[in-house]
Amino acid sequence: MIAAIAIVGGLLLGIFSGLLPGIHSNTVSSVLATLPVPPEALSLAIVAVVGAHLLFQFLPSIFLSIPDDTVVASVLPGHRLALAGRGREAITVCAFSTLAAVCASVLLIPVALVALPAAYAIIEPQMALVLAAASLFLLYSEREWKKIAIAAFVFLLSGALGIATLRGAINDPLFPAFSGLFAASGILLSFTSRTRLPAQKSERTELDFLPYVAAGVVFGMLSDLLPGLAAPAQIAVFASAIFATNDARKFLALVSSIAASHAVFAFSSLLSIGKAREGALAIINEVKPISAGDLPMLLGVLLLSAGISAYLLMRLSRHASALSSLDTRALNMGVLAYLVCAVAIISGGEGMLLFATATAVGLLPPLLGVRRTHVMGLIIVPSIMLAL
Amino acid sequence: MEMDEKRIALVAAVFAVAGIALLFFLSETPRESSVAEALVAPANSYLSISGIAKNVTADKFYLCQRQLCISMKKGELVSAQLVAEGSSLRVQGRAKEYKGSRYFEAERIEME
Repeated sequence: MIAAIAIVGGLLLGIFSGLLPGIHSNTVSSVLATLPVPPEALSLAIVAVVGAHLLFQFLPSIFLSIPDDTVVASVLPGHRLALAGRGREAITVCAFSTLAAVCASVLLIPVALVALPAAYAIIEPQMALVLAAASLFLLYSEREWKKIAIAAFVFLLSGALGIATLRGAINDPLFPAFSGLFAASGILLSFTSRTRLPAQKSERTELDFLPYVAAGVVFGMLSDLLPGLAAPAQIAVFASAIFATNDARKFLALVSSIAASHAVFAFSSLLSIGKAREGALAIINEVKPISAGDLPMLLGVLLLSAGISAYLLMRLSRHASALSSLDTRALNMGVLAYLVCAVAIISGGEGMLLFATATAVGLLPPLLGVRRTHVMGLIIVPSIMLAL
Repeated sequence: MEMDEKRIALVAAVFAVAGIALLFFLSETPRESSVAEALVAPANSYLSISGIAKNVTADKFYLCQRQLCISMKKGELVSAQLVAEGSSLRVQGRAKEYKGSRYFEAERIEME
């Protein structure tokens, strides 16, 4: 009975944290850990939070272009589809890809338990070099020297912002940082147009993105080898440079399956190499160390939570057309006001400074004619420094 | 229009550099935090945590709140020598990670 209450409670909290940008599943988990809840029930509740958050984080990112740190790379293509009246289709792609990736990753856990230690032993000593090489590849993808130089400037400026941010004392620093880099800067640049979010068409889509889901599962496993900061987002940036595609749906499939498989393989990285790559998992492991015997139950709850959330997400996305009756400028003003208030409440005065600075950095790529991906230097540069 | 965009980009770049410099300056004040938050905070975060000392050894101890604990590295702090099993403490320092394991590098320890 306690287990059922914990799972339902976790599911509801995960939906809440997914729908409200700025409330991270790690934040919810750290609050849950302070409550007088039995360790077993707490573990189940936190896993249910993670499963529901994985799915519901796509709603604000696709319809309102507000990013979550694990799927930040989905913001631009997802919102582009919503502006083309294909937001529900984007939700279908993300929900399907997430579920497929969770299922495939659960089946691949035995492989990961063997493969991760071997891969980690090879990659870990060279981690800084791997990240630096991948970053150079990302910059070089701009092709022209002038653009490469501008991209390098944006990348290093974002990196300096990342270092300044992460050595400070700001609560949930990635929320104001990503909200400024992607949402606020995009909103400021969009104030010249008055386009409305169009009526959203059917949720039906083709399943031609399945190879991207398979690639996402492999990249998700690799992301569990990376240290520290928003590893799925970093891997998604590098993967997007390798799997260049103009089809936003395929890109979304890649990003969502990376985030989903990262969450599942975090269990195997904890058991095989002793690294809890998910904050929520680190909390569970502190409260009650996770053993291989706990996996069936915990992964079962993750699957259950993700499955129910996918169904609820699809149902909820039917009402997305209500957004089309709103003027885009008014909607953007509302989103901006929400972000300012949320940042002020969650991250305080220094968070506001970070938000404003990140917004200024986020304005640079579109104004200077390079891809916005380079602002991911915010997490890549500090990760390189951590790995040194 | 192109000139306007360049000017906006210049203003944004100058604002960004000034903001980053200010953030570096402000990064020297610790944030009140719980053990749970310290376990999930980004590495290098500057935090202040209170709790009960457990498993005290010569070079480290665990700071615990309820069922959660975080490993504390004493470094060469003189005040760390006064830490005894069960004592109530406030510790300022940075969240660190070594090979994926989270610990806390104490910079200041106060008895409560």
